[in-house]
Amino acid sequence: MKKRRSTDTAPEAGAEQLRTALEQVSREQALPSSGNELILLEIDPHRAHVCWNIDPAQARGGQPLVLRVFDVTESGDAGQASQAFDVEVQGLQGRWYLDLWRDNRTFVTQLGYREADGSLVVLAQSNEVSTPPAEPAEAVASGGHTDPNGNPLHTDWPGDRVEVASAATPAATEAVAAPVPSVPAPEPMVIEPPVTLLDPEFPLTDWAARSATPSVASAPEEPESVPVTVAPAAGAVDAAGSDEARVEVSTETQPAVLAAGDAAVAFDDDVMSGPAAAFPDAEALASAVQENRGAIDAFYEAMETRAEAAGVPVSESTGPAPVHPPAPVQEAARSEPAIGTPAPLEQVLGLSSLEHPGRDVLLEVNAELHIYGRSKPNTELTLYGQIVKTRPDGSFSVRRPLPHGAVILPLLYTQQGNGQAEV
Amino acid sequence: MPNGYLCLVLHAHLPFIRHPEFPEFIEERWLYEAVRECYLPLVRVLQARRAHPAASRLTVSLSPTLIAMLDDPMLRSRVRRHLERVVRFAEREVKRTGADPASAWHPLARFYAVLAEQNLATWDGLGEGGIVDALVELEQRGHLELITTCATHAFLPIWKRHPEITRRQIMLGARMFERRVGHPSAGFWLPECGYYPGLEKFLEEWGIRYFFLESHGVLHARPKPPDGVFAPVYCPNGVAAFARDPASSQQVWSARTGYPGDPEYREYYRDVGTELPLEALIDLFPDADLTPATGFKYHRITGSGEQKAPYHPGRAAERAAEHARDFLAKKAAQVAPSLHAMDRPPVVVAPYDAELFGHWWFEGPLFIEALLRQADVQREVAMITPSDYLALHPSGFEGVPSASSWGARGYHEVWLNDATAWMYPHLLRAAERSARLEASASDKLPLVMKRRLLAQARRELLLGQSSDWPFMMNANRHTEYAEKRVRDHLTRFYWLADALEQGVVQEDKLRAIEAADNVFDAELLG
Repeated sequence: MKKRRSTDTAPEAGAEQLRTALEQVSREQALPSSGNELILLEIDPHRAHVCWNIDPAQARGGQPLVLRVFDVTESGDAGQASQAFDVEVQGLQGRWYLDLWRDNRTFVTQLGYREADGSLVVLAQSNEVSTPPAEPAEAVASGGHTDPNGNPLHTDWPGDRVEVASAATPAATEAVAAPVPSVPAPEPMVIEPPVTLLDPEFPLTDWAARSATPSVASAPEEPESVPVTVAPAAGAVDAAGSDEARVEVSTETQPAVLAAGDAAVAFDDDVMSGPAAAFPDAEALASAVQENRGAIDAFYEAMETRAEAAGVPVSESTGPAPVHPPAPVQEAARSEPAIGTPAPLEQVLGLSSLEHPGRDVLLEVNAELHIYGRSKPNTELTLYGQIVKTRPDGSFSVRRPLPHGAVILPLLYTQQGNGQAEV
Repeated sequence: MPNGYLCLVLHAHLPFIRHPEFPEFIEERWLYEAVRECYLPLVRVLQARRAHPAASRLTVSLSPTLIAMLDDPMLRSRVRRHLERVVRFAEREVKRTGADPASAWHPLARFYAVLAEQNLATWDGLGEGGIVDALVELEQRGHLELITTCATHAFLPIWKRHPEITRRQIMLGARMFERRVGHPSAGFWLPECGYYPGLEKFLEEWGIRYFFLESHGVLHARPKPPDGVFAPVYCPNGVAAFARDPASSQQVWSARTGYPGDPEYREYYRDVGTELPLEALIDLFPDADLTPATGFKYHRITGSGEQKAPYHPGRAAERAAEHARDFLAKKAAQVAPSLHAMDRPPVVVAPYDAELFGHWWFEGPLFIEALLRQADVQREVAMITPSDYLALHPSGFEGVPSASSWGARGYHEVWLNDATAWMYPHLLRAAERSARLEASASDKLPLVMKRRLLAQARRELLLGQSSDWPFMMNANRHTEYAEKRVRDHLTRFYWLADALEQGVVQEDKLRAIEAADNVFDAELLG
């Protein structure tokens, strides 16, 4: 509130008393919190905003919540949804942009905890949202993204995903038949859904940080841990990391199908092997690509091993387009020198704002860190010494470019009144 | 028959800002400045046409919150106080600049002095009925069509799944308009042009016959409209959706290529208040230490550089007339190719915020005056209102428009984003509790008290739903004020709801809340 001050003008009668009474109401009346709540609001043809609140009594310490997104355009309810994908979310209260990828469709979401078999213990179910069409009527083909010629860009969702019905695991089959409540369940209930290939505990953060450390040896490094708790279904992929703290890349440059052999469309030889003066970060990029390839390959190999153990075929025939490079391509890429090696786009996630002065931009990748959360009212937060503004409900949200190297967040929390600070 | 039609639509709206708890309040100045720079000049422009037949017409949407503020005795006295202060400041400026009679600024100071006197005289001359009565009288003479909008300018797509909120916003907008203007509103300005399929059903309940959409709201309709933005789409229930013409928007709104950027026009950002010592301002502009804006601007845009030449009101007025001529010629050129391809003359819909004309674009009212006059004397493009159009073409291509808004990127992002999303769960919860309030009121309370509490709770909820607060948060302008407004309305709502349900009322606080947020009387709220 901007400062107010008295003037030479006589105040209206009772202004002072009025102000006192109004300030008392504002000070004394708290805004009530909700129980389990999941609100979905559409933003545009491809995105929605999701807000959630989960009762701490129902929290499982340390286990991340999972938002399961259902396309219910034809079916009308999540239990009969033709397709679904998962997004891992953080915190019992939060807000996120949610990429829905498809225009002119209807979606509903559920929030809960994913079990080892991929089923979801549902804590809250959202309302439906309908995304508007992104194109005039004639240009739209079956509700998908379209290119300037009106041709669909995606046949699956998002990136490459398989339909629930085609998932071969018994759990997924049961999911189709399982009834889904239209309102949040009073007791947690288990929904059998599509399971995911990309493990939620995949050490993306560690991997990204390592990728930007130039002193790391170029030899492939094994990931510190590759969890084996989820039995994957073919073709499905977790969308965790595609939202907050994500790389902001347009849909045209972000295909999950950008496999090793395909990446030449994004990085031509000239860019990758050109003189450092023209592309100063080329060496660092190449080093990071080589360094991370080992971790990526090891991860996919572990996933394939698990998939095979679960009886799920992992060859190209399992889905319309495999989310990861088929094995022969991986082998070929691994044996090539790093410079000039086409790289899956996700392998450069750890590098930000690649600059290429004086050149036409072929592909520009920028990363952004979204730091958000909630504090008690009347607290002061600082990040890197700068005040982080909290909103009236105590929530805060800051976006910063993702820097090179490990990210340390010096977030200082100060309770006003007693002057005590916690880091 | 003309080759085509032009519908000029001015949307006049300000959020409900009224602070009796402070003798001066900086955000209240938006109303004072809009009255002085936009609404009074517009009234003068239109009143000057009273002696002539109403050949060319325009459409003006008056928001219920603006009507409430223009009719509010406290705000009216504060508006007048402001107009008087401007007169006094003008006298001071005439004296200051007169020290050097050869100065280029002295004639400009005298120009502003005349304008200030004129504004005060117009305000006083309008009497108790003020600007609203003046516009109603002009409508009765046929010079314009007045229409309504939502009660507190709620962005309706956010409330899509809460029909009771949508209904109340539309119902109050329709009822207040009818009571104040004297007839039901035929059209409806959807706040921010925010639309979703099905919204027209709520409009139909109040006899609304048309509304406006951003261009792609019609272009993306199902099935595809054959005439693009040049004809309305008639929804399945018969309510017509008129699309904004993108070319007309560009010609007026664009900072780079639009008319308001002409070098002859007055420079917006260079106010003499930023150059004078605070002592010269503070008694007349009490918030000058925060916003030293006096409205006295002595330079013209000149060019992109820092050096600005003196403003010349006469040359700027000539340029406004030239631009009006150019605008009309461009509309004629736009409709000509479609004339024979359509089964009716094309219609170009040009909607703008009314506050653009006069505040941001100082010469805007002159442009409107020149446009109306020039349209009177040619036959290619007829300036009509949507009701006129529907009288000529009561039916046409039937389709379902697409969800859309006129905000940046065309959808909901301006009102739903990182900066604003925190407020919606709170507002939704409050709305859900509001729906139960009447039934859950304590039996301990007398009926009169129950009604007072219920009516005030509804006012608070309505005021919290205004699209202006998230707009300000998104633009990062007056964010603190916007956030406080949402929080204050929510806390007041819950205070009232608790009092109603618990049967315990602190009378002094209730009176304070009623005095502060007095928009819509109990009869209107129902």
